Amino acid sequence: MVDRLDIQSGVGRRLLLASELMTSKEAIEREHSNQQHLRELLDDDACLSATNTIRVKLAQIRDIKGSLKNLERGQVLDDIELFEVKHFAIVANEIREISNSKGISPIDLPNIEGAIALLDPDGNRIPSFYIYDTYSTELASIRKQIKSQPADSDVNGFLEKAEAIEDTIRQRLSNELRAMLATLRQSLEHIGKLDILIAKAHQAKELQLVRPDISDSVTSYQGIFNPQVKEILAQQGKRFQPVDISLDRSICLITGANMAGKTVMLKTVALSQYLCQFGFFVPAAKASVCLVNRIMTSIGDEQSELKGLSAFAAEILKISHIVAAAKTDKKLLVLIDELARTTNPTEGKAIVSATANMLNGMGIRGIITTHYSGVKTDCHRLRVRGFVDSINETVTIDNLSSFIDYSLVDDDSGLVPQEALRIASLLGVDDELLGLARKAIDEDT
Amino acid sequence: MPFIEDILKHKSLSIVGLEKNTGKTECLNYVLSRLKDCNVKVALTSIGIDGETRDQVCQTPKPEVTVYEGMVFVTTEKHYKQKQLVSEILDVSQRATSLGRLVTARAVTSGKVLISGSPETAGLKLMIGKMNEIGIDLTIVDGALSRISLASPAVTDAMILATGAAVSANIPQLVRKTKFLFDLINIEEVDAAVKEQFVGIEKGIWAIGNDGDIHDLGVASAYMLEKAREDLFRFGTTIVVNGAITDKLLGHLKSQKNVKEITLIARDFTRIFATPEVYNAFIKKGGTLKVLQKTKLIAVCVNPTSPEGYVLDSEVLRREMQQALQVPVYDVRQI
Repeated sequence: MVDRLDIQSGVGRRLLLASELMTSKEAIEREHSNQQHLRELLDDDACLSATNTIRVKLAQIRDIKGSLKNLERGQVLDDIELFEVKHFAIVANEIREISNSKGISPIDLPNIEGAIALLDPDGNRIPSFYIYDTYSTELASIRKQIKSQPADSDVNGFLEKAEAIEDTIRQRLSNELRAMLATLRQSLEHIGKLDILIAKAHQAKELQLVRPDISDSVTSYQGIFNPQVKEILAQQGKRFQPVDISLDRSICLITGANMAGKTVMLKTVALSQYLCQFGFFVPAAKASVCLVNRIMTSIGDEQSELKGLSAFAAEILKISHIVAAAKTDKKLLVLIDELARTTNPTEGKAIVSATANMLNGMGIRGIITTHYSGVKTDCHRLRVRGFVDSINETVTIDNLSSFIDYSLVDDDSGLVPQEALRIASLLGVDDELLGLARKAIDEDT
Repeated sequence: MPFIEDILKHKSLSIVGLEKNTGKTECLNYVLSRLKDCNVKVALTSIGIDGETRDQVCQTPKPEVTVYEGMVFVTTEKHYKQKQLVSEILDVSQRATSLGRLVTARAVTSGKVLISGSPETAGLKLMIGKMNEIGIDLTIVDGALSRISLASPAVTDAMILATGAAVSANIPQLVRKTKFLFDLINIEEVDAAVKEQFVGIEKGIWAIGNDGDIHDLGVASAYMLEKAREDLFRFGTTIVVNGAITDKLLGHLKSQKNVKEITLIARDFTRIFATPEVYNAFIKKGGTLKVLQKTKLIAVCVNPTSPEGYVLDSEVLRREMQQALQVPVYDVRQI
């Protein structure tokens, strides 16, 4: 999501990469409401075109952080740096004027006319720069002398004199710019922020993201979807089935058949939480999010052979880490996929029960998914509805997903649907193998 | 004013030296001094490293370029700071080349400056395009035929070649060496349709099939030819080589039975690194060589002085050269 943001300016990219997970409700609300302001503007044609003009200008913005730093250190800027400051000031001012006329920017873009006036003494408003004759009559007269010398004559003496005067002018300009340092810094930073906000608003429009409410009790999503998976499915002419889910301060245990979308759902919940707290809108029809200090996940195979850890060892150490964190900080979101799947079912089931009950008892918000039946816990249980009952068409690996209902239903049985063999058969796995497997089940029961 | 009218018919011009110390910079200074009174907007840039005040190889003094009031020049940050003229910065590139950021400036007074520029062909093309955009009539590229620079001066519409005693102190040999490069510069360009097909393809070896379709032969460069197990001519006998054309490649092709049917297409003449002997043998056997990008050679300048101080007879050199090449040849110190 962050990679896909269409940021125009270098300063925007720099600020985005430096941004941190926000945990203050006020800060997030402020960011969301700024974004909502821009998101709404994009639906208005006149404002959209003004925003697009601003984006073109944003692409011309130079990140003058280095030059400002040099000013702060008390250094004298050279012509190239002065050019960059002037270029920035002119473009930033153009952005400010467009923004103010249409009420685009929700954050104040400071007035930097002073810097422009200083670096554009002739009032040309063209973003080019040199030490103009206007700065000093003495300089102007020396330059006139240089020009009037016959060709091929030695003008080094004049050049040296002119250079000395230019240096004092650079010094004066740098001093005057230094006085405006705070305003220039603010202008640079706010321009970068505006760039990010516009890019986020465009993304929210394109991906149909929604502004989440910030809640104190329940995190709940109606029609949550995974933008990446949705896009891949759309390319194949398929539809992503959005899911509803609600998480209070407890652990929710989800069961479901293979290929039922449990992993995607966990990843999407993690993504949405991050997006919300980095000031983005979230992929859902309606969302209400409780803020957390940390998002802790155990998703996917973390096998680390290089460290000499088996898949199980890596996983269980991670769980231990999560439990330790939960003991000191209750504001967590814990997402664990197929806990203890790589070990034997007896102990595996016990680990699932213990983890779920322990975290649940501590009032931690989270989801654990499992394949194990009969896990003993008081947690809220959900099940992915799974295969639709009536399948008339031939099922192949390509259309399999259209026969699965990905929605979540309450489930008190604690039993896991036994659909692995059915899926294997639909996938065209060797008949003899499946026959033997069925026989083994019959013998057990 | 010889050849200045010719220059003005083109939008971009490169000045290249056959070797170091062949008087390229003097030639450039001559052209600039003439253009200053022509009422055309001129921009000046260079390919890669150039413009050291002292030649890095021979330690002979190397004249800086004199830029005249109103001309636009492009150079790197470092060289910009050493300029000996008053100039107005028009642009500073946001992306740094391997030599630092490029500064585009307009000379407010005439004066001397060290010119350096984009070391890649793509960057050079972009720069020429940008100059056109800001209303420049003619962009002059201080070019190098060195293998150090990846940028090819052949992207300019026209070219002036500088040659001289630094190449050889023996007039017939100097003429022969210059003639060989001259022949390469004049290699025929492919049809516009073929040229169009190869826009954006800057790597590998390709074949043009009899149906006109292009096929990647899966060989990275001519150096990898021996590893190519499949028949090079499986799609047709027209082969496009984006990289270097070497003796080895030409030698391989000239010993094929179907050499008379082979058309070898190079990117431009600067990519042909073959020796005259092998090149001529390939042509004599009936092979054909073409280029995707040709530039028009409008003049040859000779410098009769070698870096060791050896001076050839300017008039004899000029006459011999002109007879062999059949293009105007000048000694810029004599005109």
